[in-house]
Amino acid sequence: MREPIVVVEDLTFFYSGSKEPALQDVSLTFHRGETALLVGATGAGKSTLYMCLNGLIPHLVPGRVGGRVIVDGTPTSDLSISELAQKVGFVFQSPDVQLFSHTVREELAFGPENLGLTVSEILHRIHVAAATIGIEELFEREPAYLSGGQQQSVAIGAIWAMLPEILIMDEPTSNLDPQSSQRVLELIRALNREHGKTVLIAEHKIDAAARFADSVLVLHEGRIAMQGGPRQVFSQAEELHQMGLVAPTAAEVAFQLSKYGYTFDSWPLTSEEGIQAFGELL
Amino acid sequence: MTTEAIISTRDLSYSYPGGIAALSGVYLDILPGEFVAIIGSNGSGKTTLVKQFNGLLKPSQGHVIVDGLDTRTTRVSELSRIVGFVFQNPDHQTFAYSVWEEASFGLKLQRLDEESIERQTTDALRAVALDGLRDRHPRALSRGQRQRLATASILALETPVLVLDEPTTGQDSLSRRQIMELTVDLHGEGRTVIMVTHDMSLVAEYASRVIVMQDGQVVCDSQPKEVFEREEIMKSSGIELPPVIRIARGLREYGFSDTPLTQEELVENLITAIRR
Repeated sequence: MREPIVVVEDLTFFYSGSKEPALQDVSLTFHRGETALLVGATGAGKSTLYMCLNGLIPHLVPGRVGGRVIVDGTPTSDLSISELAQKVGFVFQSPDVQLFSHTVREELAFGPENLGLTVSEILHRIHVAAATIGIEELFEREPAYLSGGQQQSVAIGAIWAMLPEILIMDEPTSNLDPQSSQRVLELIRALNREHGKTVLIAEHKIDAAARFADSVLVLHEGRIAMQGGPRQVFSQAEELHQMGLVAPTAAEVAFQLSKYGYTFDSWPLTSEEGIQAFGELL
Repeated sequence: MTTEAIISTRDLSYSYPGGIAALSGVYLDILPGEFVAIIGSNGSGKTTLVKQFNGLLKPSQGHVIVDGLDTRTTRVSELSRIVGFVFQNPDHQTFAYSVWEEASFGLKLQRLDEESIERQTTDALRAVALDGLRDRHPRALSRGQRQRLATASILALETPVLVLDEPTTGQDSLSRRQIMELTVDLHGEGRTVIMVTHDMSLVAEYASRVIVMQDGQVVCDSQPKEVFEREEIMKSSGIELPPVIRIARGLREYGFSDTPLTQEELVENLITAIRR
């Protein structure tokens, strides 16, 4: 658990032509097998950080970079985009941006084919990915006609077939109904817990996401504003509010009650913990 | 039949080409000035229903009456003066080369005079805090900004009815609040708001009436407090209670008896109960 897999050192990035840095002096470490929740208002620098982790910065996006990003022991500047694609998988917010094939099978095969793998290896990968994600019955379906939840599962499956160590998920449930959101979040959790993958997830549905994050990283105006365990970060509601952010409902209620002098041994994050903590006061 | 309803459906059924039934036998009256939330899982018929309100879809059977006009025999351009529709995905809606062009397009179609176009567009862009970006290309906006632009282009039409399909999807908490404050203001001005959403906290906080859709039918139509009490319907419709209500309900075994809808109400009720 404590082996570092991503190390970011004093990272600063200016988009070409911009005088304001999109990221400034960002230093952080993700450990193998960790699930980190990335929180920040629109424009805080989340997307820029993703692009630094998957190598689009510095390889493709024009701009000025300071500091460095080390993925699995090697600086991203020394790795090609295709090498990085095998280490860092990126799942977009809307699966329809990512999916383009006529069948789910082709969609899953696309990444491995581009790695120049043998046919048997490709077949093996897509079957493992489909079985892990639970989408085998969708093999012959056209992604465009699947439900939102199924599409997002296929998008994750297509990334899974690349066998990345690190999965970056940019608000993977924002277009899904509550049941599908729950399924996708459970899937991500299983990929993390059962397969030891490192997950970096940005999610506005903070109530659902807070419960399974090992750590929380708060970005604000290109800088790391807060960093720590979920209980540590979400107990500081006042600081979050100043950045236009909120904590999970139970933590927000605990914060309001604390203004009246009520204290909590363990800061509640989930509804269940809230019931327990507030029930003890009653 | 209530004559004052601004939208009425009578035995409304709709099947998509290919025969998939999306709505069956829907009777609804929506009164002017209501703030209605339409909820239900993906595929329950929510979006199909609201698309009937501005004539984007026409009934396969039955009727939809909008401000006295039967949608079967009224042109969409006529209906669009009454019902403004903000799509879930702003990219399905935005197409112009600048923020200004996008926001003023609907007004130009209505052949309004230059002065009215200028005023209504400026007001709408100001309402969504995009008035500083009028020359920006819509694609150069963030997703949250594009959603607000899509909203502005409909607001500019100043229609008496606003339909919002998942207005806060993908928005951070600040822009979520801005969008909802704007919606509340518009509702306060007397507009009818119809909101399709999966966000039950929004429903609890803002809606005065909740319509639950399931398999193309209305299975519940009541006030938020009452709807969230209907456990069997919540379960069969795949609806997750908002955290505030979940916490309040869990606290019942500790003797807590209130049914707050917002975080503020929960805190107030808790403090009163603790001090008791």
